[in-house]
Amino acid sequence: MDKKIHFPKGLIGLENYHDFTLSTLPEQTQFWLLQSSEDKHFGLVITNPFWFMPDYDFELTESEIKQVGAKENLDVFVTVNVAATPENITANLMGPIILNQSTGSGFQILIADKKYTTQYKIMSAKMAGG
Amino acid sequence: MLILTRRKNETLRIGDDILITIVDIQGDQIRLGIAAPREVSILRQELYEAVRDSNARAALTVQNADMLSLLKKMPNKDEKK
Repeated sequence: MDKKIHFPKGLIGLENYHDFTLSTLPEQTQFWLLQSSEDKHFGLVITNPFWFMPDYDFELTESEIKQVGAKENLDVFVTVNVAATPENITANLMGPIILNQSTGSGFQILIADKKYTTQYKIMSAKMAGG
Repeated sequence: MLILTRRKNETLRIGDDILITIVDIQGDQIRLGIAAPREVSILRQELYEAVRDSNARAALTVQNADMLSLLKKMPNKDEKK
């Protein structure tokens, strides 16, 4: 099922993309496609970070909470860099995407936490950590 | 861009409520003290650039439909290891 999501401020560094459709990917339950409604060539794969990093956490600033507009019904996703080998598929843990389900709006925020990277190898953690 | 000179312990005022003080200077490193309202976000520019570049790269990988099929090899939610 496709969902329309509006990003009032766009994505970080890509501020001109505001409207997206969130759709499932074939044969996938962990990855979704965030496809720009304005540019069919622009889309991002996103995933729920908690299946490979259960203790992923960050704190929103007051202004971010104001922007997002609620503390309930929020979903957290991270963007995925798809690579030719599964071991090299990475997730960006520094720029999570927060979706407010009740308003259909989305925000990408910046996490200034040294423990997170923009290129976290999803599978290596899964294989090492078990 | 406004360029101005400040010495150690001198302060710069931006708007009504942002103060930037030169706390220390060691060689090519400068330690800044920043006082700003809580709603003002302060970030190192490299962080912004890293996330921006990652967004752009992630978008590139999706343009390649073959890449998406690679995700099929990834574990699904219901699969227990």
